[in-house]
Amino acid sequence: MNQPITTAASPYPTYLAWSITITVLGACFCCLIGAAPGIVAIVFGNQVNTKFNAGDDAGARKASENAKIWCWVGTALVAISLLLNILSFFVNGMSFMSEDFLQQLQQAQSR
Amino acid sequence: MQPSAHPRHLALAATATAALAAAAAGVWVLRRFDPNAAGSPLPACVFHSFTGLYCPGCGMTRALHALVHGDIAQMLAMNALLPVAMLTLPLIVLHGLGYRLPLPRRAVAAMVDGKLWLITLGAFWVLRNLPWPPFSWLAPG
Repeated sequence: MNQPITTAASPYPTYLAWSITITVLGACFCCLIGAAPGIVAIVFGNQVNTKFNAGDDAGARKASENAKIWCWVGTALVAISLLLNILSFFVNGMSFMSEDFLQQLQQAQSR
Repeated sequence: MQPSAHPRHLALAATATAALAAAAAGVWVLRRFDPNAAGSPLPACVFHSFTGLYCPGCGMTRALHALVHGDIAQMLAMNALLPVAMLTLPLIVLHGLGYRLPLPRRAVAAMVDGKLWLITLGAFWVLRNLPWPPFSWLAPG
């Protein structure tokens, strides 16, 4: 594991794992708007390697920076929508909750 | 050990710690609450509530709940993307941190290709909403 990197990958990160995660979570938590930044981030992350392999070092760095920015945008969107989800649970949730579940919740809290 | 290797190991340690903490919290929540129960505090998919269609992440909470309870078949039925993501995302992170993966070079190249993921996510999104048998198995449930 201590070997130097021998693959011809670019030195600029693609943030691929991050962008895939926020695409899926964004789709779930806030519809198509939520998935969009993640998709944009995957596209920019993909350009990092393409441009680096084509010899465009500056372009690859720029694409990496853009991918990072869009990852943060998507992360912020997921965080906000998760908070809204939690908020709406506390505002609306209790009214349609079943009797069984409320008991379960009380048991969980008293434990 | 080369001094230049240190940041990579630190980044891996930080990522692994954060992932383990998140996993522990997730396991605790899913052992305590059942996303299948009516009025569960776990959030449902907003895309599904608005459109009635499934998104690529639909069924993810129920799939994780099944996984935490050791029900692999139920996990696959709820969201087939979850095992794929759980296997590949750590590998992509390791590759991104600069580690060499003990896999064929072409497999690694395909895995870290953004185009493949755009197609996979897009296809999964569309196909799991189709009502006919081979595709409807991809829908949650």
